[in-house]
Amino acid sequence: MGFYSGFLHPLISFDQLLALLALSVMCGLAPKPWFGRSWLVFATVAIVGICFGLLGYQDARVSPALMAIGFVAAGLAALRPSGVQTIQILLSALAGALVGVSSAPDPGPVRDMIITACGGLVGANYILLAVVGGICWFRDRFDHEWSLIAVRIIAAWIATISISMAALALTPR
Amino acid sequence: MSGGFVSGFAHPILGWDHVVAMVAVGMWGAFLGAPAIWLLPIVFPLVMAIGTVMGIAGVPIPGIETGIAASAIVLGLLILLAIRLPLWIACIIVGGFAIFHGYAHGTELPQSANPLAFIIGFVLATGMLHLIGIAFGLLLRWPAGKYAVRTAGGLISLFGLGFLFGFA
Repeated sequence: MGFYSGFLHPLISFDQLLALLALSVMCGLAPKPWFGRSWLVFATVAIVGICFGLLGYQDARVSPALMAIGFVAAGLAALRPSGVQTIQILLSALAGALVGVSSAPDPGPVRDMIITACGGLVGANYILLAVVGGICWFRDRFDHEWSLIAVRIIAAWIATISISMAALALTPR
Repeated sequence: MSGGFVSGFAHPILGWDHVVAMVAVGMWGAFLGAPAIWLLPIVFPLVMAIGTVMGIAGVPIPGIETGIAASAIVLGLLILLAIRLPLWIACIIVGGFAIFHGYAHGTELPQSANPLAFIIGFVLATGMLHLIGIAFGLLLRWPAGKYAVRTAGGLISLFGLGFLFGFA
């Protein structure tokens, strides 16, 4: 419990981290107005999601669903088909809802739960903004075609890792 | 039980059939030029993921080792014979073979002590092998380099035949 513990939660939960990285790469490669819209949708829906989580909503399918979102978002970032802005917004909303739900802390004193949940929200948004910022800096600093290619190849790797982990989570070991 | 990152990273590297096929993907991409030079290393891991999922789920696919050997034979021949195919056909060929490679990695995964690290390892190793192939393929800029790359393609194809008939 605590703000810092909540803040670290998206960083140490690989399902959230993969989904956030994938979403960040997709947003980082999107035209700038669309990143702003995606982030706004993500942040808003994450607040709704965390409210559901605080009210006790839990589902074992959240983790593989987050990784599946990671696969789709990173796959779209890697292949960059045109006209996927609506899908980008939809994925941001889905990721926001699921990150919010899975950021809800274990039951405890209400005040501590809310502070921890706030930490989780700030942490998730921090990762998103930091990675998008890093991608924008990288592409501005190295203004070559290869900088875009490098980000797209990394997106393909994130997609592979995400879907493999999702499959593993759904397969009994 | 296989381990984590090191096991995953070593899995494509310790199998010569994986090594030559993935180096061949990079070389063929370099041979075809832009956009294939970077599109093939994007398509390969994306489709490889499908194979990995099938391997994890235990979906039976016959002839995995044959498919991996065939990838080396076909890609090596394409480089040796300097065949320039349309981009979409190149993507289908590379993607088709990627399923076999992904499946082989996927069957190892459920036994892994740290699956996330294992996956990160084999994905990074795959990318690194593509990069090596691309770097070697860039020798095409020089006349002598063309012969070197095409000869390497022939050798990869021979390696593939060796794997197929159990000589390698």
